[in-house]
Formats: sequence, C-alpha cells, structure tokens
Amino acid sequence: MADFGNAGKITIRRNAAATQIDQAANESLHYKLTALGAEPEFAFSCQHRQILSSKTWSSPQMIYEWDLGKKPGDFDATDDVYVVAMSFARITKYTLQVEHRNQFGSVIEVLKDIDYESQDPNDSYNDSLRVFTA
Amino acid sequence: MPTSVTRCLGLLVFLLLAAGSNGAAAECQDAKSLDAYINCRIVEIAKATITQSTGAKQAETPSISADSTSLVDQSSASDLFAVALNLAGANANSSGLGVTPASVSASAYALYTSAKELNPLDPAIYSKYRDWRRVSFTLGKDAAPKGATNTGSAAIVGAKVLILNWRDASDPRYAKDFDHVTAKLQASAQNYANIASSIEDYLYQVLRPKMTVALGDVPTDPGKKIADKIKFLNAVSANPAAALQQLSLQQIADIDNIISTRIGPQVELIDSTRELVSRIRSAPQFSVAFQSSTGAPNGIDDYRGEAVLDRGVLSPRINLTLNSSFDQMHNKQTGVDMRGGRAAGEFQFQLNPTSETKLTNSRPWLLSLGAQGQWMTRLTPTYELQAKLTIPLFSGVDFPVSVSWANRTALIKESRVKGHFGFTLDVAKLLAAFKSAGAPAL
Repeated sequence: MADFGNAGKITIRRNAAATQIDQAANESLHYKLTALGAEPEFAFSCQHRQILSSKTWSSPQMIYEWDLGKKPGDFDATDDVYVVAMSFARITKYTLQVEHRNQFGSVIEVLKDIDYESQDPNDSYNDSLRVFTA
Repeated sequence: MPTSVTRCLGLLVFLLLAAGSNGAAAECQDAKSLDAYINCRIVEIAKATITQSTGAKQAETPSISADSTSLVDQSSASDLFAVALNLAGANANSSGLGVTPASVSASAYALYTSAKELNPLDPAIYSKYRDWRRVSFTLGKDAAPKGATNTGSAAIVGAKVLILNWRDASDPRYAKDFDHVTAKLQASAQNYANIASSIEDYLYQVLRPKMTVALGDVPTDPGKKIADKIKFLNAVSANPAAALQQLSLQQIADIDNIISTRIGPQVELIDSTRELVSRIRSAPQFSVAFQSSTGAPNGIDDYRGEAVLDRGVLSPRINLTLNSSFDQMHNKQTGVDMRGGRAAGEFQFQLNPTSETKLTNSRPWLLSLGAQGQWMTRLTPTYELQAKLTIPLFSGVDFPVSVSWANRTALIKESRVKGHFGFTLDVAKLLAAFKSAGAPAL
C-alpha cells in the first residue's frame, strides 16, 4: 500500500508539524533537500508567495540547501505555513531535512528528517511546516 | 501430473498472487502524518492519477537466443544493469542439455560511472553523462538447439546504440515542458500552504477540546495559544489516525470541502504532469543493434544486425515495436552459410486500468502479441507467432511467460509450439526499491 500517490513511500525519522521562531534572537530555519535520480522538480512556497524552486539553481544537483529567516522579510507573517512540494517525474527519492538554528548557526532542534520515495513519475508530495514567529 | 509440472504451476500461482497484491489503493486513514493525510485527500478529490509505466526498456535475453522469452527486441536497455534468466523448459524442441539461457546487460553509463567511482544516481552526473546511456552491451549463454548432440552452450554477445532517444526525460527537448510543470508545482505548493493552514485551524477548533487529557485544558491566555497550537499540531501529526478517528463524518466532509474549494492548482499540476509523462512514454525511440550467438557444439552460429523502432500508438497504453534485421547463419557441420532478412513486430498492451478516478498501482501487467518472418537462403521461410504476459513481481523484477508457434526451425522442418518463463531484473529499479537509492522513473 502506498504512503502517498500511486507508489509513494515515506520514512519518518523526525517530523515536526509546527514550530516557533524567535526573530529577535535571529533564529532561522535551514532546509536541506537531497535528490536522487535525473533532474529534480521541487518548489518552496508559503501562503503568500512562491519563494524558490529547483529552477533557482542553474543546473541539477544532488543537494539543495537554503535558509529562511536570515534575511529581513523572509518571514512575511507571524503565522505562516511553508511548503516543500516535490515532483517524482524524474526523481525517485528525496530526503528533506529542516533544522531550527540559532544566530550562530548551531542547531536548536531538528524539525524534519524524512525520506520520500516513489517509482511513479506521476506522483508528487507536499510537506508543510507551520511557523509562528515572535 | 508430473511433480515438475505441479511445482511449476504452484510457483506460477504464488507469483500471480504476489503480483496481484500490488494493486491495493492508498488508504488516507492510515496516513503517516497530517501532511500525508491531506496529500491523500487531495489526490482522492482530484481523481486524476495515471499509472502506466514504460515497457520499452529491455531486460530480457536478446531475440537471437532460441529460448528467449522475447520474440522482438526493444529499442533501449536498462539505465544501469539488467539480468535475464529463462528458467523454463517447456520447449519441446530445445535440446534439453541442461543449459539455462541467461544474459547480463550493462549500459556504457553504468560501466563509466563505476570506473570513475561516480554515483550514477546523482542528478548532476545523470544529466552530464546522459549520452553514455545510449550504448549498452549484453553477454550471455544460450541453450544448444535441438539437433546438437553434445552438451554445452552458445555464447551470446550483443551491443545496442540508441540513435533516437526521445523517451529520455532528461533530454533537453523536454526542458520547457518541465519548466511548465515546475511552475505548476510552485502554484500548487502555495495553494497547499493555504489548504494546510485552513485544515489545521479547523482541526484545532474541533479536536483540541477533546484532547484535554493528553494536552491539558485549552488555554484562555492568548499568549499561551501559540505554544498550545504547536503542541496540538505536533501531536496530531505524530498520530494522525488516532486524531482522525475522533472526527465525525460531517467533520471529514468539512475537511474535504476545504480541499475542494482550492483544488484547482493541484488538478492543474496532476494534469500537466500526466500529459507530459504520457507524451514522453509514447515518443518514438530508434536503435541499431548487433547480436551473435556462437560456439554451440555442432550447432549453428547466428549473427544479426538490426534496426529497432519503438513508439506509442493510439493510446499511451499501447506500444508498437518493429525490428528489421540482416541475419547470417553459419552451419559448422556443413560449412554452409545462409543469409537473409528478418522482420518482426510486436504490440504491447498494458492491462492495468488507467482510470482517472481510481488510485492504482503503477507496475504494469503487459500483454505482448508479436510475429516475425525470417527469409534465409537455402531454407524455407520461417514464420513465428508469440503471445507473452509480463507479470511485475516487485519493483525491478518481472516474470515473463510466453508461448509461441513456429512453422519450422532452422534445423527441423516441422512446426513447433513452445512455452517459456523466466525472470528479468532491472538493477536500477532494484537499487531504488531495496537500497533506498533512486533512478529516473520514466
């Protein structure tokens, strides 16, 4: 039985659905997305804007990393949902890791560490994290 | 009934049952997280899922093998390695000398990345060296044909070059199409963020008052609301089944309604992905190949140079493969050479339903109907018909069963009926399935 779509499999090591970020203390979120296969198609959005996608990088890579909260305006609402949408059209495995970090880059908490796999190119999956900022 | 036949039938029934168990639909209630539940409900509501998988990557022993389960060669081979083993035995005209036909195929890409110690499944490597996947090599052994008096086996050697490779999803010709899919993905991600937010707020409203034992009383102090909501959402996502069981049918309908009112971008993503995948799978593919089967004691050395065309016809579920070859046979007993040509064609039908209103498993059951004619000097023309059922057992492991009729063989002037079954293993898919590595899914 598939965990998602036609052939999806989810392996969860850590999966927080929500967290709180202290902007005054310069806390941030660090995203790391690892893809295996041909060319990844993924997107990162919140409720209000499309933040980045696989096309943000000029060529296909195995590891994509970005930060949220290091630049002013990264968090555009005090209560927002951030989504990583992954297409399996040309990729069969993604590993999503999200860390809550302090101003020095040290990890406060690992929020997500999840494998998403599918052999069906029609499958896609959305992973969300609700972020409250103070 | 002979014991061997009973065992074969028993194995076949087991394999059919194992394959049949693949078709279970996803159950939203068993979701592993709140996101998994919402994703599942979105797919259910969108009712748009396609399931066909390509059947045009050959893992079987080449057609030049007398005991191959494949009458017709396909235009491409596995991305990495493939192994084929023809276990059976029902060929009344085989020599029965104890040789099990088998072959191993490897792409130049697999060999190159192995030699360079590169990860063949790294997207950067996969794209950079895509042309290395155009070339593949096959080595194997073949059973001696009936008429051979000694034991031993023939050596199979083959090479294939993909000239037209339009079924490679990483081909630059599809770059704009995938940019379009990525744009739809971005829109769907933003839309999903709003769906998730609305559903989470709704769940907090209807479920939180029922969870006072686990989470304490609902705080009235606005300053504590955020921490309480975070605790609630993490608790629900950790065990969504327990939380969802507390919902009434009306409340589940309310969640579906939240999704329904925002389903547009999700449907557009599914539709655009499905259209592109279908188009790539039906695209033409053309290759040239060389095969030889030599060295069987008292047997015949076969050489074949052929052109192979694959393309989808009429429906994404139907693939047509055409072979045209120049064949040469050298009879080592008489020293006589026979030359001629061969033409073969095969339709592949995917038997799985591709209903847009059901979730079904993606591994296809394929029914193939093929025919070939071979016209050689010094020999009466040979005509052969074949029906084959390819049963997917696990990801990367297939079980082909074939039955064929021929008016005669190269050595024997009588018609024959033979049946075969075997196993094919596609290492790229096996890696993805069992070692948590990935390979392109198309």
